[in-house]
Amino acid sequence: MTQGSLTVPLPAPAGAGLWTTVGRALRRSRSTMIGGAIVLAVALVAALAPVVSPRDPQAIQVADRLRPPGGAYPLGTDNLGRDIASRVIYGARISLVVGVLVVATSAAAGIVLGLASGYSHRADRVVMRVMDGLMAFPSILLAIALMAALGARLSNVIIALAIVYTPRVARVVRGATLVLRELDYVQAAQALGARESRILFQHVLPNCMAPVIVQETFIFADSVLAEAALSFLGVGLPPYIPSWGTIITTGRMFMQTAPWITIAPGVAILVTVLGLNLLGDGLRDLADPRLRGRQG
Amino acid sequence: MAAYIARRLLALAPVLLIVATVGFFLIYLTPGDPAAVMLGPDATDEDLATLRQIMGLDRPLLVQLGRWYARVLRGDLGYSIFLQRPVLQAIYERLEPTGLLTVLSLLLAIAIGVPAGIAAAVRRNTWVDQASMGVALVGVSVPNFWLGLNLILLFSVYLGLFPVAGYVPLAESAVGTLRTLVLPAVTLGISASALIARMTRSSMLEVMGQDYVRTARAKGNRERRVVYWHALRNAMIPTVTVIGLALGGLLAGAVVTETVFALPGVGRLVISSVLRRDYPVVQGVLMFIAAIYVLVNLLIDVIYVYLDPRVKYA
Repeated sequence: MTQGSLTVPLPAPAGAGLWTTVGRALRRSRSTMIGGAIVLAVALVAALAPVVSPRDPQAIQVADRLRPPGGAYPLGTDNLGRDIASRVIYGARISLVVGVLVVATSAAAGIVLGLASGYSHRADRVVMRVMDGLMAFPSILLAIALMAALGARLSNVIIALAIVYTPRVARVVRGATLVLRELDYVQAAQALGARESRILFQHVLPNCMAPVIVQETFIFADSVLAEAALSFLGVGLPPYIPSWGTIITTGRMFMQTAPWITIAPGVAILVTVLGLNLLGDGLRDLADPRLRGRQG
Repeated sequence: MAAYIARRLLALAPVLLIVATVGFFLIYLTPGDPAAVMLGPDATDEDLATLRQIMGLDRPLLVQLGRWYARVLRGDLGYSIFLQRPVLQAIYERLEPTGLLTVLSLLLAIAIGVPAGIAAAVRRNTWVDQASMGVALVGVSVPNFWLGLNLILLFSVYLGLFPVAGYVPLAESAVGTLRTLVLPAVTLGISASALIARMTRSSMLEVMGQDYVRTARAKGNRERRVVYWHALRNAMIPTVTVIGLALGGLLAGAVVTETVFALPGVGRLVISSVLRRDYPVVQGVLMFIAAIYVLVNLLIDVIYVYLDPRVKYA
């Protein structure tokens, strides 16, 4: 069974409330719980950044430049005397905002395109050809090329990554739609004369959501990594925005004298992406019980 | 078999057409006049007109698109004014470090990933399994440029084992080349080896539960023979797919890794071209790598036939 396998979970049995179902699922899957906890913690830190960060992330203290961790600066300072801890905490906001918006955009586009091509042969021919074409580019390279054309800005990073990841979602949704459209309840709705949009969004879409959520969790993880890589290469965010990628880029020039500048944001990326990957693995196992305990 | 390959090559045509189209329209995503962006604010009107003419930007869009297809089909990826040479030549000149880096890191990824995946599957739910899958999870989650920076700091700056950065061409000294490529290959290979380990483990587990493995055990085969002779051969099929996918990722990941280690490869070429707004080079490299990626995946599908006689291509 390959990773691309797809099962469409049957609708949950009536009676079990949402929270009961969620609670039961969490107890069954340790990686979902640990991954979810990590992601939640990072999200909380990002949301509460003004409260939890010790200083203003942009405040320059030239007298305190390149201070090692300890004392007034728990994670040290950078070449301009800016507090690394505060910059990493505010950086969580940038990285998560990029991730969330890439997830939302690629989900919206991927769902519409996937439903259309799963349901209509004519749409399928055009849409899936284009998606296959986009997937013929290694993702980071396509993102770099798009950034080259669009220009290094926060909004453009989101647009570029959404374009790169939409085909993945569209494929998943198309696959699920192809299965679901043959099921009795969809055919019954068709027989009753329901409008196509109603069939797609009311009957088909809700049952595609499990694989979409799994896929989007991995897309979130990949977007955090990709944003950092693009910013590091100088084609992502402009250096004055404190994202994890830009902090590492600044710190790179001081690697030998002040390695703490790059270590903290790198660990932040690692932990966040690890949490998202754990969550994605756990959710995939829950959505597809045949794979339970098989994959990482 | 030949007919199958021919048919698959034919099926690639629409994908490559889309690839070429995406590459063409890339330049039109630029806000404003691409020629003005390329030449900067100091350009004179004559310069702009000349550049537009060289790049064909003064022609109607459909004419440009038609010419672009014709050129790409001939393998002509355009001309870089900044580098004063054809794009394809610029790529070839920088192919050695990129190619070696990609191949080395792929070999490394297979050498680590496959045994780790087998060990994890054979000793399922033991510490071996948990440790190797834990490391694999970290491997897919670590930002590889950051890993590279830390490896430089540890092995080159503190321990002095490898050069900090730079590249020695193969023609000068093969040992020197290898020394400059060890850290980049480790940096790049880690995430691919993690992917390969995860896939090898899951497909081994799938296979180990099959009837023919039980039969092989029932016949009294040694466990070693069951694992390596009966199970592994079948488990390699999905692993080969992942290796194919990983190769594309490695080729693109080389862009990032080359920047970290200052290797004069295709990746450095793309990044410096992006920063110089040398669009023909960016488009050309995009076409070049996508073409390799697509062909490698075709090759993988062909390898399937040898690995799994059940796969019918009629």
